[in-house]
Amino acid sequence: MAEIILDQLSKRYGKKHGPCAVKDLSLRIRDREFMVFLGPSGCGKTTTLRMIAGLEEITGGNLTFDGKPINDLPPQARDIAMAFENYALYPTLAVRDNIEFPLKIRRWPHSRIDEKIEWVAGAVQITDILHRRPFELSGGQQQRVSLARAIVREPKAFLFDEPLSHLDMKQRQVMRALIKRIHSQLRKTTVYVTHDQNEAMALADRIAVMHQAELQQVGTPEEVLNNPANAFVAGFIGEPAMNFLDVEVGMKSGRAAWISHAGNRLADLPGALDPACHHLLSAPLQAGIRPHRIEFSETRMRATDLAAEISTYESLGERGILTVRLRSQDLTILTLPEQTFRKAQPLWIHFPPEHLYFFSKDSGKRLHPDPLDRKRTG
Amino acid sequence: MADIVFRDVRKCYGDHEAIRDLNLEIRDREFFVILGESGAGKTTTLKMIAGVEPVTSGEILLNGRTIRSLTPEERDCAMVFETYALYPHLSVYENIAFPLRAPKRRMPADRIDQTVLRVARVLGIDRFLHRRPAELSGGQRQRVALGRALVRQPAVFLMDEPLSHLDARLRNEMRTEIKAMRESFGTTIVYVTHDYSEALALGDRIAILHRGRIEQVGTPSEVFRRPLNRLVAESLGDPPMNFLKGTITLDQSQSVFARGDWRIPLPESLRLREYVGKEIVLGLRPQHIRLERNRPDTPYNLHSKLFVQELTGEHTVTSVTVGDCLFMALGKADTAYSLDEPLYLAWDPEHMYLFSEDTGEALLAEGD
Repeated sequence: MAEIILDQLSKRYGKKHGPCAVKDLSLRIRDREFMVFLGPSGCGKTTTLRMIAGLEEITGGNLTFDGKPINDLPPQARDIAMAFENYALYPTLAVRDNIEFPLKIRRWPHSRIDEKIEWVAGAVQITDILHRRPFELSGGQQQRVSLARAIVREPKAFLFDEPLSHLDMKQRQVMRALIKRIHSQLRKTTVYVTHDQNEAMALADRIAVMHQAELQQVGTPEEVLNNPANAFVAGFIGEPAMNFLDVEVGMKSGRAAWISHAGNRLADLPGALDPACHHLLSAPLQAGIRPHRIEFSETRMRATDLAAEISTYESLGERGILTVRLRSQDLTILTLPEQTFRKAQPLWIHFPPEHLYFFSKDSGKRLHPDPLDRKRTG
Repeated sequence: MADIVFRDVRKCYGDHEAIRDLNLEIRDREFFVILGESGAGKTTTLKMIAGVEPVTSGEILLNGRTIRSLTPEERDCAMVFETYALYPHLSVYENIAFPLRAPKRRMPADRIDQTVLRVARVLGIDRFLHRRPAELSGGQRQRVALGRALVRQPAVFLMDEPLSHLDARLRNEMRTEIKAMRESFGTTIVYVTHDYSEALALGDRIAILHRGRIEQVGTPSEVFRRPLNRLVAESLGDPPMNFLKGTITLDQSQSVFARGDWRIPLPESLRLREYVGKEIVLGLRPQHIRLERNRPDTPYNLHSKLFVQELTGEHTVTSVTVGDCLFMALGKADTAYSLDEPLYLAWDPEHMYLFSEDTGEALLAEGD
């Protein structure tokens, strides 16, 4: 059992009015859950992790672990393993001795140690390097050893702080798969910090998206991708990033009739607008659409198709990224690989209304004009 | 106007040979990308073009003249680094205008103004011209640095990992920006990166550099689809290509890839015949692998066990173990498998790569 509850957790530097690194963060990390804190650098995610670990003083709110307040508990009393903060392996000890170390301190019997080492070495795939010294290992191998040492003592929860950020592409992929597999085998509560949305999507049961010291949204990878709470989450998650356009809603006899951009109609709305949303329509509005949802053709297919100018095309091997200019705005469109585009080629852009998201331009909050508020598939 | 020719160029630092027998022709107005890991010799190559590092032996020719005989002005190279060294006390406008105000140029104020505005507009920083560098984001600062290099209208533009320390989002934006900018300024560009997607997206041609040696030069499509060796194949793609060792044997006069009990038929080629009995490596890209629960109706399959499944956006990366190798397959997010579930990998024969285990040389590439 390891349920971690953050109740209005805050970290403030300096006096009462100093800057907040984390502001009123409330979150329940469930037993056995893989929770990822995701956000750009400086958003407060690492500070939060360090408060959970006990490495950073909590200046407001409560932190409980299985119902027990642990705000003032020292790190070693929390029964949490911080995996590869840095590798911090003992250079004079062989890999096997490095891993055994935390068990020997705890005076485990030899037979149990041997059994445990055999299991963990198999799990992180280091059985063949147990006799080597740390300096004889590659970065990826050192990290596996460090991971093994964290797993082996069976803590109640694991904490990871950007563990893959300084590995090369191939090692990163392999380590990511390994971490995920170990979690699905051990099912220990895990808190993992990253700025890489791809990594977050791949690993998390749920993602907590942070920005400017505040929690923006908590949800499964599908939820934060397909049902973002605000423009920040929508823009941060998904690759390439969502396109945003300034739009107005045109009304006809009290019903939402169409969406327009810079005076051009770009989509018709299929149904009536919820009266509760009417007040939102006087405020500036932004529409968002994901790059793989924009449709394009060389000929105009509908009255609402907008003419765009091709600006660049990048072929990335498995896919292509087309950038077009629409009025004064650039749009990113995901295409199949190896398509050919001519610079002066006419291009008509279609925005399928069911794939449009709406946000208040001022607050960034997601709006749900009723006719469009249905289950989305990304 | 600028073409650059490397002729048998070597560069040594003491006993260490950083660049070995480099022969290369970079064409006028070409966007040429040098791709390689850190320590491959990419930056050394750039510095030799700029004339900052002398060559140990061989010759670098700029427009047919050896760069050793040229003054820095005659070389006319502008360099953009990973770190952007802007003057903190000057506005964006003054930072960009700085090279134009050099006394030797004697450029009139209105021409300076025109040039700065034109470049700023192309780079989308015309709204920040009055700001100081400290008030800009990382991406905006990098654009100012690009702008400052661009206004000089150099004959050769040298870029050393200009995007590498921006975050992923900004990096993609700036990559598109550089591609667009390139089309507005007809200069020869030599661009160094360790990021394969940057190389594919930007380069007219790419040179893959490894430990001071060029492994292949070609268009993005050539190097991606028809790598000359395993090293090139491995360095392009994320997740990277999967590899499996085996041998070529003859099975009733048909050559097959053999590993344990597996037999995978290979296309008839004289080249492969020479490798019968030798160790080879099978290569498959993650996006070309299909996963199936039942034995597929094709000889192009391998048996595996599910290691782990990871969802990333619309795609799933499924890792499986084939013997003691970890394979990754990229596909649509549809089926969920359980841990250690037995699975078949299947692929179309035209997507199969083969390499010599010994030399790494490609024996079979896509479409063969």
